Amino acid sequence: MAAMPNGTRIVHSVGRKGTNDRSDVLIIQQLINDNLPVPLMPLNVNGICDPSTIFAIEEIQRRNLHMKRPDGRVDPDGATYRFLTSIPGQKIAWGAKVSTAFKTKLIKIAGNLGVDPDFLMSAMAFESAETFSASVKNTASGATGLIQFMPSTATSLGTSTTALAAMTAEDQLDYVEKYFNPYKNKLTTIEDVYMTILWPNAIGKANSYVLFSKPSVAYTQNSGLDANNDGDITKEEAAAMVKAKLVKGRGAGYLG
Amino acid sequence: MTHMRIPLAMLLVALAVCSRSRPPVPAASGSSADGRRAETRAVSVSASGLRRLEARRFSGQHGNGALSVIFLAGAGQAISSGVDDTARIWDVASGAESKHFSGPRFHFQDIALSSDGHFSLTPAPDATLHYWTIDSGHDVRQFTGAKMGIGTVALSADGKLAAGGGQDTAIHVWEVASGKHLRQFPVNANVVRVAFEPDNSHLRSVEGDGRVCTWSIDRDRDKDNDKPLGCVAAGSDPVSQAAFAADGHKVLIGGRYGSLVLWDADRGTPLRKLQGSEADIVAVAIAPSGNLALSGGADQTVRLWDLKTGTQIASTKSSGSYVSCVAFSADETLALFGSDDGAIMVWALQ
Repeated sequence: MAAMPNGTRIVHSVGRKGTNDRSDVLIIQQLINDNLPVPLMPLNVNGICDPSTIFAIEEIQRRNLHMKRPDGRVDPDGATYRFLTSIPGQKIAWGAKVSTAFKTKLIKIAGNLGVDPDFLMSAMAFESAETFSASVKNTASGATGLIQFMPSTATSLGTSTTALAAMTAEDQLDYVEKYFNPYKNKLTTIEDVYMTILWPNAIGKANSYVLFSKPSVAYTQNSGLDANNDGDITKEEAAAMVKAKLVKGRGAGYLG
Repeated sequence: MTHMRIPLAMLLVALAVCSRSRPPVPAASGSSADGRRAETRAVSVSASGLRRLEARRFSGQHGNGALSVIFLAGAGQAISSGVDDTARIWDVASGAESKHFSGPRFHFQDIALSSDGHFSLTPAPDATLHYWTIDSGHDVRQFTGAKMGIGTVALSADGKLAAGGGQDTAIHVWEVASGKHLRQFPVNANVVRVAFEPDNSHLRSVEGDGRVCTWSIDRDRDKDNDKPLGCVAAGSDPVSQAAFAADGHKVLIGGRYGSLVLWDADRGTPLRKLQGSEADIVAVAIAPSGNLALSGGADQTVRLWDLKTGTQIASTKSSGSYVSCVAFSADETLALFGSDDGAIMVWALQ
C-alpha cells in the first residue's frame, strides 16, 4: 500500500452497493486514473460513484483480476484495492520503456504465471528488439509482436498475426499470458522463460542442451544465436542474448 | 451394432481438419455401411464448377483472419470461423454465404461435429466450450471448468463425451448430456490436438513438446489415474500443429520450422517425412482413407500429400500471408482452406 500518501486509504467500500463516502470515492477514482490498467477514458474525479466509476472497477476486475462476475465494488481489504494500490511503487526491468498500464498488467500476469516480471520483460525486449511493440514483425518468418508470435502460435491462441499487430501492446499481453499459461509455476530461470518462446522442449534441460544444429532450417533461422559459431546453438547461447537484456533493462534509464 | 460403431468412431476421431477441425461422421459414410450419399453430392459440387486442382475463393471473408473451416455433413455446405467473431455457413458449389452467426462464442479455432451432423462443439475465447445447433446457432450446452484458452476439441464417437485442451494446464473431459465436468488431466505443455479413441474411453493428445499421450477416461478419479497411460516422443522441431489418422495409430505432426512427419503414434517412430516446406506449418489434416494429407503454413501454400509414398501430389497458393486452416471433404475430392487475410477457398482435388 505504499503508493498513496498517508491518509488516503479508503475506509469503506466504493462502487456498486458500496458505502461510497465521498472521500473514499475520490481516492478510488484517482487510483484508477493513475493506473488506467484498461483502455478507458480517465474518470472525472468528483467523489461521486457514478456509472462510469463502477464500469471502470468492473473492467479492472474483469481484465486484470480475471473475475468471471465482477461485482463492481472496491472493498478496503479486497483484491481490487490491493491491485490498485500495490502496483505503482514496483520497479521492473525495462519498466521505463513501457506505459504504466503495460507495466501494471505485466506485473499481474507475471504473478499469475509464477514468473519473475524482469525475466518476462527481458525476453520481450529481446524478441521485440526493445520496441515492446505489438506490431513489430520479422518479415522472413512472419513472427509478430512482443514475443514474436509465429503464425501457427497465433492460430493456436485463437488469433492471427494480423489481428495481433492491430491491437495495443497492453491487449497483446493477454496472448502472452495465454501462451505461457501451460508452463505456469514451472519457469524459475531466465533461460527457461526464453525457452518457452524459442523451444519449449528445452525447458528444464541443462544449459549445454543443443537446440538447433547445422544444417537445418531452425539453425539457419536462428544462426544469430550461435555465439561461438560452432554449428550448434545451445540453450546457454540462446539465452545469453536475453540475459544481456536483463542486465541492460535493470540499468539506469530502463528500470522503472 | 457395436461393431458398426468402429468405423464411425475412427472417422470422428481422426479425419481431418482445419487447423483443428474434423469432418462429420455421416459424411464419411462411403467407408461405412449406412448408405448415406454425402460424397456423391460432393463430387457433383466439384463437377459443377471446378477443374481438377482449381481453387476458388468464397464470396465473403473473416476480417483479420480465418481460424477454422470444415465441411458439414453431406449437403454441400461448409462452416468457418475467424477472428471477426463470426461463424459462416457456406454453399460450397456457389461459394455464397448462406448463414451468419455473430458474437464472441462464434470465434473458434476448432470444430467437432456430432455424429448426426446437427450439432457443433466449439471452444470460445473465454475457455468455455459450446455445444450448439448448427441450424439455429442456439446453445444446447456449455462446458465450463477450463481456465484458459481451449484450442482443440473432440466429441466421442458415441456422442456422450466432449474433450478440450490447449493453453490450459490440463485436458478436460465433460459429459455431453449433463454438461458435468468429468475429468481433468494435467499436462506439461500446450495441447495442439485431442482426439477420442474409437472405444470412447481413451483420449489421445499431442503436446507442444512433441509428446503423444494416451489417457484413460474410465479409471477411478485419483491422482495417479490423472496421469497418462503412456506417452511417446515425436517431433524434432517445436510442434505447431497435428492431426490423428482415422485408425488412431498414426499422427501427422507439423513444426514451426516446416518439418512435417507422419509418426507411429503407438511407438513414436517416424513413418514418412514430407519434404517441401521450410516455413511454419499452421494447419494439417489427414484424409478419411488415411492415404492423403493436407498441410498449409507460412509459405502461403497448401500442399496435398500422398501418405503412402511421402510425396507431394499438388499445391496451391492462398491469398493471405499464411494458410491458417485446411480440411478434406468426406469423399476426398475437395479441400477447404482459410488464410490470415480472412479468405476461405475451396480446392478441387480431383
